[in-house]
Amino acid sequence: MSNAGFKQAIWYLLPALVVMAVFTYYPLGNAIVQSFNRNRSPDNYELSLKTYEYLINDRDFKVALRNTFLYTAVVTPVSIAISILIASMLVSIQRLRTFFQTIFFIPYVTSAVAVAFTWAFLFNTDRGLVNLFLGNLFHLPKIRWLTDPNVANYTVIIFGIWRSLAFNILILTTGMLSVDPQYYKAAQVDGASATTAFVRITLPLISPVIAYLFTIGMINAFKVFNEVYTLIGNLSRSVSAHTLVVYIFDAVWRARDYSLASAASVVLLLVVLVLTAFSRWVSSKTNFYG
Amino acid sequence: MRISLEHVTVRFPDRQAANKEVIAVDHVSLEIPAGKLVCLLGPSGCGKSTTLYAIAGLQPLDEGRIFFGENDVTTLDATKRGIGFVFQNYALYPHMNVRENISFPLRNAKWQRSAIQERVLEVARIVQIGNLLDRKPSQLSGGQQQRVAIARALAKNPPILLLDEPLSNLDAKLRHSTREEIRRIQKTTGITTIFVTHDQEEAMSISDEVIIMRDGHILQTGRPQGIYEEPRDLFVATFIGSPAMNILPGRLQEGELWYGEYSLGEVSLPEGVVWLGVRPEGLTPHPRGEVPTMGAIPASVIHVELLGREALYQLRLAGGDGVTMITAIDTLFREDEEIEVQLQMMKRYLFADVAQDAEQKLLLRF
Ligand SMILES: Nc1ncnc2c1ncn2[C@@H]1O[C@H](COP(=O)(O)OP(=O)(O)OP(=O)(O)O)[C@@H](O)[C@H]1O
Ligand SMILES: [Mg+2]
Repeated sequence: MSNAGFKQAIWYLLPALVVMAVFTYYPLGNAIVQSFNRNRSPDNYELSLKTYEYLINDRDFKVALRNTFLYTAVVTPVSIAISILIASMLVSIQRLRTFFQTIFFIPYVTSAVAVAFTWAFLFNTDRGLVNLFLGNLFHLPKIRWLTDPNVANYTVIIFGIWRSLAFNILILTTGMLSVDPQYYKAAQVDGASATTAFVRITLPLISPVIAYLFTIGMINAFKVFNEVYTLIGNLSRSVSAHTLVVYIFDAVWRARDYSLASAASVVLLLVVLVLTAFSRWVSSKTNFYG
Repeated sequence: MRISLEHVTVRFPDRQAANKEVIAVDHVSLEIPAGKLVCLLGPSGCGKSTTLYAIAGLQPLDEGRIFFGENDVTTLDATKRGIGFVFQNYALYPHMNVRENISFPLRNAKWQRSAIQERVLEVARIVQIGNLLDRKPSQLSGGQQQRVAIARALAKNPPILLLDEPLSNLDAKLRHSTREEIRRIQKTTGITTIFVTHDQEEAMSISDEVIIMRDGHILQTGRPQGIYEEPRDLFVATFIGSPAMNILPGRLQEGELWYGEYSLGEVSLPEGVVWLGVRPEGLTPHPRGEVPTMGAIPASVIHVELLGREALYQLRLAGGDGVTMITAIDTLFREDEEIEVQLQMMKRYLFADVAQDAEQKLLLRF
């Protein structure tokens, strides 16, 4: 870029850079500094590795890490798989497609908190519709969806899958609709069944979209907070259903331990960085064009 | 395999007016003999692609029936018709390399792996792309993509090959060589082929038979030379041939044909207004003498173009009409020269005026 071009570009970029510096990079740097603080409060700084030592020995932190990995490993692929199925059905209907697309997209634009209240009610042990349904239909014993430490995890995962469907379906239907219909005509002439056409033409052609959803899905899953906190709330810790961000949140707002929260945040940042790099590498390997 | 269409009709909802319809193909009946190459020729939007899609089973019919040989295939699924199709934009699968593209129909037909390999090499050799098998379509030139599309269509040894304007994306030279190649492949394999084009020269040069369509109708069917010499109406006459046939206003009066004040000889047709057609090579030029030649029309040379073997003239006739003339190179006239032109025998056509006949049929060739 020429010098003049650079000068001009920097003026356009400056507002965004300032905002990012103030709200992203300064806090990020600060968090890294604080994570090496021996004391809980930022007012009293003493360089040390003590917080990290505490963190890796904390059972609660290990549980949070395990839950977050489990959540990510299940929610992302399962949600994408279900979304592919629903999206493929959506694009195969001609009439009312927009109507159904809207219906599937509504959960995305509703507040997680409001939706979580409804789900908390559905999963209520004694009065919840889910138990009522399972009990009456399959004569299952009552499941303590939100309070059993062995179950609460999975309740959060089910909710997380449901929450992320809307966005995935929207992106996937758009991706599928953008495939040139000529390829399907060619496939028909070439004697391909609908299933063959889907597996050998649609899926490879939308693979960049799927790779994108995996990246975004994993990053979002790692940062999951609303889904847990609104569904199970403070209890999440006692039923071992908390995730990394819940752990960080509690460290700040309950323990008032800024150093601990910072150290956990740095761990989260590192994990997300590694995942992003990995998924970028994967999607560069699965580039079907070229 | 012989293909026959009986009263095939396809309608589409009109994109502008909600409750109106476009009749893309209107009661088309035709017969394509086995082993022939037939061109479907017509202006843009006349229903060529739709007809082809209907034959392929990609477009359901509103009326009519389609037969392959003796079999009624009207309701047979496209996946089961077993025909080869080359699409206008090739529609090569972008994520598969050339080999995978060509094997795709064979894999769907559950061929043995070794048989597929063999067949891919065989068709690749026919269309001369043996060295490109590992490339993706995006790494091929237009002409190479087109040959891959033909190879894919030929792979499963289909009895019928349909080509939808396969040469429209190629440059003039490549167009010429690939159409020869298509003709050669068609001749060696003996596959019944329908070739859609809106380029009349292309149609004339490679086909056994030409079908001319307009507005969803078939206007004329026949050997290319036959249609060139005996066009059914004014539309076909001007559509076929390049440069196009010259059309002049004519008048039948007192048993003679008149162009303005010039008599062009005796014609025994009812009196009235007609259109007089003459192809560029049907004009003979003479130097302008003191006394005008009988049956000749004075003209001035506007422009001369030398095309190697022949000369292409733009003339203005005394009546004010511009005409094109092609002559051998030995009788040259200069620009602005005043000459006379004669209309050659049996190269003159008379067409009805719209007022008498909406189709403007050919009245007489003389
Ligand atoms: N899917 C469709 N919906 C509505 N109208 C259509 C559709 N496909 C074709 N048509 C209309 O049907 C008519 C015939 O179209 P078709 O594509 O067969 O023409 P064509 O002869 O192949 O033209 P071209 O030389 O431009 O390819 C046109 O008027 C076109 O607008
Ligand atoms: Mg077309």
